Amino acid sequence: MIEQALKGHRSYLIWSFALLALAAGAAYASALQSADGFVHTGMGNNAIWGLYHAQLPFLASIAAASLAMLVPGTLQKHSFLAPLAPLAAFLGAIASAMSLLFIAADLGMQRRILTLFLNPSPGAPASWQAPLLLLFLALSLAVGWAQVGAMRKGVKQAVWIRSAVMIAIPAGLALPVISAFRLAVVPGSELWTSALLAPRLMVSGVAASAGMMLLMAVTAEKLAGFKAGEEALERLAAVAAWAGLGSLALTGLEAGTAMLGNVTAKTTALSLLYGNSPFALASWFSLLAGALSTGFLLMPSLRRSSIAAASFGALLALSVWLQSGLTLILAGQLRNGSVAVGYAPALPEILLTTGVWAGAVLIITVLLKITASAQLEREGL
Amino acid sequence: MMHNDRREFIRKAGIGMLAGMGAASGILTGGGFERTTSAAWAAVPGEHGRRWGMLIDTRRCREGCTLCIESCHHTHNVPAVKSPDETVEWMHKEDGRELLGSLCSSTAALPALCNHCVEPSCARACPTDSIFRRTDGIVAIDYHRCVGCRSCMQSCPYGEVSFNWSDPRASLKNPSLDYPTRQRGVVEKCNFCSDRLVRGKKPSCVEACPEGAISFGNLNDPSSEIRKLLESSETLQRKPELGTRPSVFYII
Amino acid sequence: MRKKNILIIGLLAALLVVLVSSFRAGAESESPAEADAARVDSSACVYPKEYMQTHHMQVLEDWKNTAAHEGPDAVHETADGRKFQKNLSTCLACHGSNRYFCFSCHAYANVTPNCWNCHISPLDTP
Repeated sequence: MIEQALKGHRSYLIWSFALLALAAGAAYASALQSADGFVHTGMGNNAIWGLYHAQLPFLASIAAASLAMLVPGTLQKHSFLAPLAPLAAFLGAIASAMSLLFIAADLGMQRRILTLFLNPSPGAPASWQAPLLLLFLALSLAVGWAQVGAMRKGVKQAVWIRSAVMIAIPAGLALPVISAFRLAVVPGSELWTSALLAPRLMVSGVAASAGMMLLMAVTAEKLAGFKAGEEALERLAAVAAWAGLGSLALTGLEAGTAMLGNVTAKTTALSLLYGNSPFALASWFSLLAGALSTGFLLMPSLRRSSIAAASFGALLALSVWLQSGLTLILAGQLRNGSVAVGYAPALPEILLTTGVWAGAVLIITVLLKITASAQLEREGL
Repeated sequence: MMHNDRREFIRKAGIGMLAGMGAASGILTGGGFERTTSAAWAAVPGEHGRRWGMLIDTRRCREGCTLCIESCHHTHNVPAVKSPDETVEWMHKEDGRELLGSLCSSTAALPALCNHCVEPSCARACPTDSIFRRTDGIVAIDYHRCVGCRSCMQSCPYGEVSFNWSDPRASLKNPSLDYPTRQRGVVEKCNFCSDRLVRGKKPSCVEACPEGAISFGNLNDPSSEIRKLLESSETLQRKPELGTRPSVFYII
Repeated sequence: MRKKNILIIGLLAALLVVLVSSFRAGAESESPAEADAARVDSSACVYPKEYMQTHHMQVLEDWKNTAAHEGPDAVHETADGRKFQKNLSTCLACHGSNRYFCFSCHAYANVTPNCWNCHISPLDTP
């Protein structure tokens, strides 16, 4: 079935090559970085972590959220999510593969990367991250591939898929928790030590991944004839809407507690996000975009239009990426509210980050193409 | 029958959980709280062995003098990186208020270094156990293992971990031959002169101070000089409210 | 049934203990380290010459991996009771006298160990 990746419409090939070129840019930037270190990045003593680490909490939440669609789609018979299950599995696999790439890109000593697997210390949450990501990657990739294969051949899915999904559940759920705990070990940083961080990552991850899947499924339907089914799309939009609402509620609860309790440390942390901060614009945009897209997706009449649902889903995903991806890390690491030093990513850093994302989008495109042709092939029988 | 079994099981499992929690709390009695106000810092019961500690008498620290820092940085080949965004330091001087909070009346610059905490947050942040607490209380870095993820740097509430953003050897004029340098891509920080302690010497900052303002010794030994000083004076630690239990004390 | 229950309860308790104790902060088990003195004995080699010719890399690799974590106890004790500080400078205390000791062989064998990325090479000493 892999041969389907290389055939296709002209626009499909152009799109793929554009993405491939961006991914090649990442390879170039990564070569530059392994030769000269972090001098080509905007990171320094004032921004210890930059774009690379900023992707990790978001991607972990996406990986975990893929379970929300994979588990009912695989384990329950006749679930409306069944046609989307392989897509969810691939989303989880790609998110964890991207996480691993960003972890690797963020290492000062890249040739010691195996140390992450060989010398874990169980008391440190960060130790669990890379091994679990690897496990989750292997499981979700295997499940997704086997499901597409079964769909193509029109046979029942193999029995081992169920066990693989069972193992993937705790591994996947642990990913956002570990991401949050990795930040929680930093004493005095209220943005990071909040107990709401892990649930917020989980809920907003469900919202974002549902939004992204809406975009993916609708695009694939319009362009490649992929069939997710009307009902599945509408239910997906509902999932995105309710999870988006949950995420907004958790953000509100956090802010409410901080402001009603008038806890200086907590209000300072909030002002790092929304107040006198280089990241205020991104934070406000994220909040408003989240509220807007959640509001529209909550309206059943709008939700039924697949184009509207897909665009608001994409907006919701963008909002979550800004919130739990970028601003959480970049604003959270500022030590002193009064000396909010900005961080501007350098060009190679941007190249590498966009390149990894482009590679991921390319793989998703190819997978959607393969899935769509597997569906078509089956119908043609 | 089945029903009874299940009820019995739940009851027993509950007892088991309680027993487990009891056992766990028994294990945990060693950790927890340290009195951090003024001189009331006495060794926690159950803590045995050596815990190296430092006491800086800020009354004797001279304004504008940086001999301790120079000696430390020369001894350990700490690079003098020019760019302020890439500085590497094991020891530095900072405004007393910034360092010790409002309890400190002085705004004079005071020496600051790694606190060699009993509960080091850097060690909890490290994915590879490359920064860890030794049996003698020194928080050390394994430069052969560090992957350069900067988690420890991020999690140190005192900002005492530095990262080698560039090649340190390029910023090293006159290296001391007794100690290695580091390489680009690893973190570094004060090692409480563990390299000198093993040769029976005192830390280089202690020896370099012309006023004898820095004392060093075993905090768990009631007869040590540092213990006597701690018991006879009012001392402060940096950010004691974070529960990291620093081993560096300041006399104001 | 009863035995099974007891087993499960025991397992639960053990799991809790392991979980809680593994999440305790980084301190490694503390043991009183009394030996204080300088123990850099460089008067004779750790192993016989013939063994070191073929196995010095394993010895150094082992020291490299264990020395930092053993901290004050990073002492190599030979079969006949001699003690060595696990440190490259222990070796160089003797072998440093010939500046080309490492390099002549490594150049011949065409190997470039990364020791000198950090440790100061005898070639760079005045």
